[in-house]
Order: sequence, then structure tokens, then C-alpha cells
Amino acid sequence: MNAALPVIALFLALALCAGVRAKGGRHMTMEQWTIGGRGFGTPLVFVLMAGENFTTFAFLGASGWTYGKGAPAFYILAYGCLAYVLSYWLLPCIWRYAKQHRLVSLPDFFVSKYQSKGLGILVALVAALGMGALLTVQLRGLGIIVAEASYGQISPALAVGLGAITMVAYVGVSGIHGSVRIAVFKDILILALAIFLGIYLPLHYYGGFATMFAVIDAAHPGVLRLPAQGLNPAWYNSTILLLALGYYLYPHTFTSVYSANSAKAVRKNAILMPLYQVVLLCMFFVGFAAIMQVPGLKGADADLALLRLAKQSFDPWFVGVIGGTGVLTALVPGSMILLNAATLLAKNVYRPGFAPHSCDARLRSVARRILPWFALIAVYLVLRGGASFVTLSLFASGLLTQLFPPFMGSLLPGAFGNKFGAFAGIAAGTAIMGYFALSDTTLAQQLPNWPGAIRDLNPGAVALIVNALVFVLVSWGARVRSSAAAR
Amino acid sequence: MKPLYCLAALPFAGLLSGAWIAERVSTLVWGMPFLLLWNTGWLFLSSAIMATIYQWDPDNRHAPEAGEGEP
Repeated sequence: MNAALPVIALFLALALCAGVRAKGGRHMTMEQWTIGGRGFGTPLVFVLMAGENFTTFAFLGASGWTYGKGAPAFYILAYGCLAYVLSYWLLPCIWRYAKQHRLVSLPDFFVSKYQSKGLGILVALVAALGMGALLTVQLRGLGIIVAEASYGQISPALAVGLGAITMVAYVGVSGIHGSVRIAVFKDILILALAIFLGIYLPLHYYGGFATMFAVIDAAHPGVLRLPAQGLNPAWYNSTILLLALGYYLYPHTFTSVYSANSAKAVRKNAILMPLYQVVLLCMFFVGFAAIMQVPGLKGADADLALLRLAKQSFDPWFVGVIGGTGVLTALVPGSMILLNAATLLAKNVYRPGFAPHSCDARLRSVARRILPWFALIAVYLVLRGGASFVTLSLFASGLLTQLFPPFMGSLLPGAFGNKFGAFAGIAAGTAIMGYFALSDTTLAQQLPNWPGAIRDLNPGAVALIVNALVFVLVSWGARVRSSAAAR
Repeated sequence: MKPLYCLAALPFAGLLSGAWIAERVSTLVWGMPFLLLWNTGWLFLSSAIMATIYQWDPDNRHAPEAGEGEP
């Protein structure tokens, strides 16, 4: 046994302990369990949102994509930044409305705005599907991190199982309070670790950043530029816009807005969050450093770049610290995803569909029972294997962004949309996303003769455009019909 | 809408024009890939812009926000 394994085990044990104890003496109502009784100030909201957004995707995916694809990975810096700018106006609107109407889940927002429980069920199902993909990303990351950092002594399958059990345990007991408690440690650790790795590795292996990029540019010409085909500027810009718009429609991010205690607390985050993106910049440096040092990782294996380079560079105990931090970057968002998936399935699918009169306590016990099942499905998907982090994340965000037109439509003054338009738009958008995912084709294959500026658009962006058109047309049609019927 | 809010259009113009500009300049600028340098610069600028908006926005000056969001 080497020193890495006990260090990782310690991280996992401490997380479980801190997460379970976070309940304190609180009486857990649904509102307390899911959104902390709307009592978090700026620091905790920041920690929670940073915890959700700087995940194993940032840890392994950002470095892995930089390693595998080069410049296209820079989209990750841009979309977050734009989302934070938008958040200054969007989040206070969400927060105020949620407080007035005592909302606890993402579908609640749509149910209340459009006065339709049916729309709530559709939104809940789309959200659950997207969150399933996101949880799969987190658990898969956790498996890879533990397997690599333990030098193969623990299998990914065992690590995924242990991680899922840990999440279910502390979410079941403490809900959001467990996630927040762990997120505090995790955010400090990952910030320190990312800055250290991002500076140390380029200096150690290349003597400086400029030398590193010059070496890479000489060995792999083109990797530091966007390619002309495929991941080209059209793809880059459409992906940034799509992800920036959909950013806060991640159900667990949306409800962490509910947990704030004032609109000011969420506005301040618009200043802080762009700066925290420095973590991602450092991860890019790690990915670039790995290109020349650990060559030969192909396809989904590119996600291993950071850990392979770390193992080559440091003592096992420090690899254990990196691995342990990696485990936390999976646990925090993973647990928030689980918590929200369970809440929205209980509140927005179970209640309207099966038990319209169930009380708060009943819903919470149903939500608790959903937790292990949802985790189990994600574990199954992880073990079945498949696409890389970025591919899965892009699918999930493409799917969740389909909620954007009715979301935006409901915020505009003199709301013109209605539930028929919202329903039809979301259905059309998700159908297109589903078609691309299931048939495993790209727009470029469907439209081979179209210009690159259209052909290489992100499929989610195409689905979003169709969705928005359907939303507007059907809403308008339904209004014309109802006013004709009234006459 | 307050004129101050127009500042927020700058990060959009900046970050969405990066790919277009990157096609027209040399790969490395000051030793860094141009697009990386550009995006990093805009992170800091965006934060400064949002801080400016926050500071001057009268919405943030009401002393306590306790009344906000009352039904």
C-alpha cells in the first residue's frame, strides 16, 4: 500500500463526517432540507455556487480537453464569465419570485409562472434527465480520480459505489447543509491546489509559460488556435452563448439562488465569480504542461492527463491530496444534484401525478427514498461507460437550456407566452437534442453542403432556436384561439 | 433601463469577438495563446465592470433589504 490511499480515505471519511454532522439541531422541513431555509448570506452562496460550478468537470475535464483539443477548451472561461454578468439581473428576479411564492424546486418556478402542473411534470422530467447525465459525470470523475490516485489499488467501480453511498448518506441526513459544509473546505483546497499546479508544472517542466507554449506550438502546430472545421469559431461562439444562457437553469444552481437571504447576496456574486475562474485558467496550464510530458492519451483517456502528470511529478502522499480534493469536487456538486433531483421528482412528479394531497413530511420521506434509486441509476450509467466529460456535460447543458425560452418569457414584462407555447417549445427542443444524442450524428453530417458557420453550430443552439420559435408561435396561436372562443 | 447597465454589454462584445480576432493575429501574443490571453483579460475586466455597476446601482443602496420580496 502507498501513502496516497490513506490520504484519500481520510478525505472521504472527513467529508462524510462533516456532511452528516452539518444537520446540527435543525428540524428538517422540505424548505430547510433543500434550500437551507433561505438563510445563506453572500459567502455561503458564493461557496455553494463555486462548489457547484467548479466540479470534476473543471478539475479533469478542463485540463483533459486542453490536453486533447487545445484552444477550443477556452470556451470554458468565456461562458461562465458571461453567465455571471447576466446573473446580476437574472438572479435577483428569481430570488424575489421564489421567496414570494415559497418555491423550493426549479419546476416550481414554471408551475407558478404558467399556472400548469403538467408543465411542471415536463420540466421535472427534462431536469431529471439532464441531472442524471451531470451526476454520471461527477461519479465517473470520482471513480477515475480514486483509481488513478490510489495507483490502481481501488477499482473505479468500488470508488463510484463508495462515493455514491457517501452522498446518499449525508444528503439524506443534512440536505443542503451537508453540501455547504463540505463545499467550504473544497473551495479553499481547490483554489490553492489549482494555483500551485498551474504555476509549478509549467515552470518545473519548461522553465516558463512562454517557453511551454513555444515548445507546444512547434511540436503541434495549430493546437493553440481554433481549427477551421469542427470546433471552429462558429462552434465556439454558439457554445459560449448557449452555455451562458443555460448556466442558471441547472436545477441545482437555480435553487441555490433560493437559498440566499437577500438579493444583494446574489448580486455581489456577479463580481466574485469571474475572479474564481482563475482556477480554470490554472487547469488549462496543467493540461498544456501534460501535452509534451504524458503524451499518448487518446479519446476519453485525455481526462486522465492531470492525474498522470501529477503521478509523474510528485510523491504519493501529495498525489493523495490531489486525489482527495478531486473526490470533494465530485461530492459537492454530486450531492446537490442528488438533492435537487429527489426534491423535484417528489414535489413535481410524485405529488401532482400520484398523491395530490400529500403533506410536506410525506414529500420529504418520498424524496429521501428517491435518493438511493437516482444514485443507483447514475452508478449503472457510469459502469456502462461511454463518452468523455465534455461530451456528456455539453449534452446535459444543451438539454437544460431548452428551458430558457419559457423561463425568459416569464420574466419579461407583459408576458406573452403561455403554457401551451412553453410545453410545445420544450418538447420540440428536447426532441431535437434527443435525436442528435440517440442517433449519434452531428449537424455537419446532416447538412454536409451548408456553410461552416451553420454546419458547425452547437446542436443545442439549433434546438434552442427551434424551441424559441415554437414557443412564440404556439403561444400566439393559443392566445388567438382563446380570444376567438371568448367572442 | 439605467444607462449604467449598458456597461454590461462590453463583456459580451469582448468575449464573443475573441475567436474572430484570434483568426487574424499571430498564434502567440506575449508568449501566450492569443485567445487565452484575451479571455483572461476579460475575466478581470468583467469583474471590474460588475463591481462598478454594483457600486453605482441605487438598488444596492437601500440600507437593509429586509423589505425586499415581501409578498
